[in-house]
Amino acid sequence: MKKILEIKNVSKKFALRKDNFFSARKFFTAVDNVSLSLKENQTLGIVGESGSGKTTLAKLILDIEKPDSGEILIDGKDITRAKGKELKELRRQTQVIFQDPYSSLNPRMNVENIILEPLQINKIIKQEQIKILHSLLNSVGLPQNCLKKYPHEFSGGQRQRIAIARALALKPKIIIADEPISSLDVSIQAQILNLLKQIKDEMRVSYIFISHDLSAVCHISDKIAVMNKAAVVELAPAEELFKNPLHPYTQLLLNSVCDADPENKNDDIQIIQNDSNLSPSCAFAERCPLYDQKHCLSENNLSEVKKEHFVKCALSSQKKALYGDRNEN
Amino acid sequence: MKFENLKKSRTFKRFRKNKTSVIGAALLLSFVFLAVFAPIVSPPASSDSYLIPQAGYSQEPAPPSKEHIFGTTEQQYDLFYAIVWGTRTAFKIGVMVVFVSLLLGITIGGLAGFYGGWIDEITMRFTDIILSFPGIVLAVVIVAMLGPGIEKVIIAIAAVSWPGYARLLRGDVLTVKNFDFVAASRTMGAGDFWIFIKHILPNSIYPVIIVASLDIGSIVLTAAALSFLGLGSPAGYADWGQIIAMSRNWILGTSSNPFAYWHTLLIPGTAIFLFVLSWNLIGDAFRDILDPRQQ
Repeated sequence: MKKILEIKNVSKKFALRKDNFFSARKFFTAVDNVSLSLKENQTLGIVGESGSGKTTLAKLILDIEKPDSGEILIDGKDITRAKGKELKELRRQTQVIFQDPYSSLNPRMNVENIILEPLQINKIIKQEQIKILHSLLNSVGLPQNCLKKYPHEFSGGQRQRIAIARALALKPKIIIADEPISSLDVSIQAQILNLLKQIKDEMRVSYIFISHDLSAVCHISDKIAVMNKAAVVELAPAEELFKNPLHPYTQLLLNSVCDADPENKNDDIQIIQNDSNLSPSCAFAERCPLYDQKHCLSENNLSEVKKEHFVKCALSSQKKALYGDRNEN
Repeated sequence: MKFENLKKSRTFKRFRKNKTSVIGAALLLSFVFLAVFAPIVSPPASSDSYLIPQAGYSQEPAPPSKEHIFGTTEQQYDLFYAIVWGTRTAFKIGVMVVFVSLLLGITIGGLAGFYGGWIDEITMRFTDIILSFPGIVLAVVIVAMLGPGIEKVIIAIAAVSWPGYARLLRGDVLTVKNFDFVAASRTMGAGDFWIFIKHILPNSIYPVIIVASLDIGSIVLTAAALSFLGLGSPAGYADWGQIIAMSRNWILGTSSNPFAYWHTLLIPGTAIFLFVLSWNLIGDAFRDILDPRQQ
């Protein structure tokens, strides 16, 4: 299958406010040397805690932010260096669904104008616009009589459907879903997830699905990348990652998912605080149960330990996991 | 929007429920009526209809009579004619000033908020400089430099009143530009102009409109003050501020009757008072209706 998106060694730093006029400017690294790729009609899940750089990565792909270094190839063309017409064309290929359906829809535009906006911007002929509009309403499951209504007249789930329709209007190849279900009611979450799945099959789009809800990510993704402190620490096919999580951070994440069975308590999660005065190369070292001075201070790169299973920590694949073995049950 | 839809709309209903807003609208409508039908209500005598006709050469004002229902003021200028045609002047000044200063304020405040960085820094420091002067003093200086005349008054007041709008709009633009729908629009390939017109302005302009409608009243007051100081319209021009300036010498009346010339002051004063009041009531009503907390 063709690679539709390739992210190569992308980094992004943000300048922090100076303490005073003379002090040196400090930086916060939001994305640190990340490389990922996405194949046609596949879903790449990105998980990680708040502040791990998931959303910044999405913004870089959408060209809302420019990376400090690295390349982002969409269909083989670098969006970070594209200009003018080429940039406009590349932007059409990636559309976004945001977490908060309240701030993602302009409250002063009605549904018709919201969904038509991308078509108007890209100057698609009027008759064509109307056709696309009605077929989009059908595919996201909105009634035809809602066109003149305003966003505040809809529930969160319906608003998210409007946002999905808008994202689909330009027939993009990649849709970035930045926590598309986290602000929705649990009963609605499944509906939206299934809608996204159905659209993927019908329109052959690829998704980048960003979430901290592991079960949702597992449900929809083909491959999952785990991010911690700006870096990808583990990358594996969804099933493999759940069965055989290697990086201690991935294990921590998986173990923090609540189980419906009250007997199955996650007692084995330990809060660990290692010596943070040393400056380890691994950002997770402070909380790592496998902490080993010699190892954590040396440079670690993402390396393939099994077929298609990449881990950033060499120790984790050698030592037995400390957070209980999920294969036991 | 069709009138039928307007009648049903929530905004219109709220407006009707609010008593003060109805009073304000009624007052304002009667002023509009007066301004539009000025040539019928008080037919002009000379070719320049803004020139108030004089009924003689005596300095002393004459009290209301059959020929001059509001009486005459200094130099026999007819008060009724001055009030009727002065309504046009008041609208001209109020609307023109608000239009010009809104245009300036929205452009400058919008650009500053939207682009940020050094554009923001330069424009906002410039507005700070203008805001640091008391408005009327700066307006006096500008008119003194440009010379008297209605157009100069409009320019002077517009030049001192746009910074308020610029600041107000900038603040809202800063909030709105971070909403997700702006980012979404950008990923669709929208340019700055599209985003500003379609997304930023419709979500940030309402507070500015409310303040502007409240300001029309005070703008007319400022213009009247400039006229009172002799910096406004030329002598004999139908302008409420000037009419009050003319009554300056007659405020104390005669030694036997202190209220001998009451009409020279009270009639133009009432006109200004009612005009400012009507805009304030309308502005208040707008604020109440468009307040998002009451939606």
